[in-house]
Amino acid sequence: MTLLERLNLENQILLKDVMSQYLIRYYQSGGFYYICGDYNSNGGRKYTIWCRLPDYYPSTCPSVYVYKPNPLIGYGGVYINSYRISHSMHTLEPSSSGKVQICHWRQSSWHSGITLNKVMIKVMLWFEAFEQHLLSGKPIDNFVSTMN
Amino acid sequence: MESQKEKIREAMQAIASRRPGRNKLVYDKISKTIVAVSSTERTPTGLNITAEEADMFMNDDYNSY
Repeated sequence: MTLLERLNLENQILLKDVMSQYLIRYYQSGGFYYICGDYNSNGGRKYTIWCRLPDYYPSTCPSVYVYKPNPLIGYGGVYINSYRISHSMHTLEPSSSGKVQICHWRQSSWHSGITLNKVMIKVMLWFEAFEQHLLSGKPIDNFVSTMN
Repeated sequence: MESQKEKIREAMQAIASRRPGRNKLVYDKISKTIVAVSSTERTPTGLNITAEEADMFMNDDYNSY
């Protein structure tokens, strides 16, 4: 299967699962594929995610960032990007501009059979867990378990 | 909206205390958001992937991270 066939299949799955907000697009001048879409949480907040598909996708796990809001502010006014790589907050190294990177799958567990609809489900759950963190002050790993 | 928020909170708290809850979290195709549905209700979505199937809440092995 070529990359293009794979991405077409991913988009079909995303459409079937009614996740058109996360369809893969091509950034022509940059020459890469990406996802940029919103999530409207139950708490009434809106988040925008950004994911540039890596060169060796799907063999390589894609990085997913919180594009907006940036900075993402957690309980007690703490910047979530200040946690950097955090097991308890399910975050990885932030982008150079401070965008929070969500840990959705462990690199060691990633394989090419995992499709982006599953990644997006985990990202949406992360946001719901984040909102519970905002309410309770408890770290995100209280509400989601280890990302396999 | 308020009751959905409450159900989400309840489901999340059940997860936090690692006990089976009455609600589980699924993706709702109409609202395009994560919602909590009662385990006794029929799921209102045709989505095949639940949070559980996405491995989200299955593994308590924190040492293997």
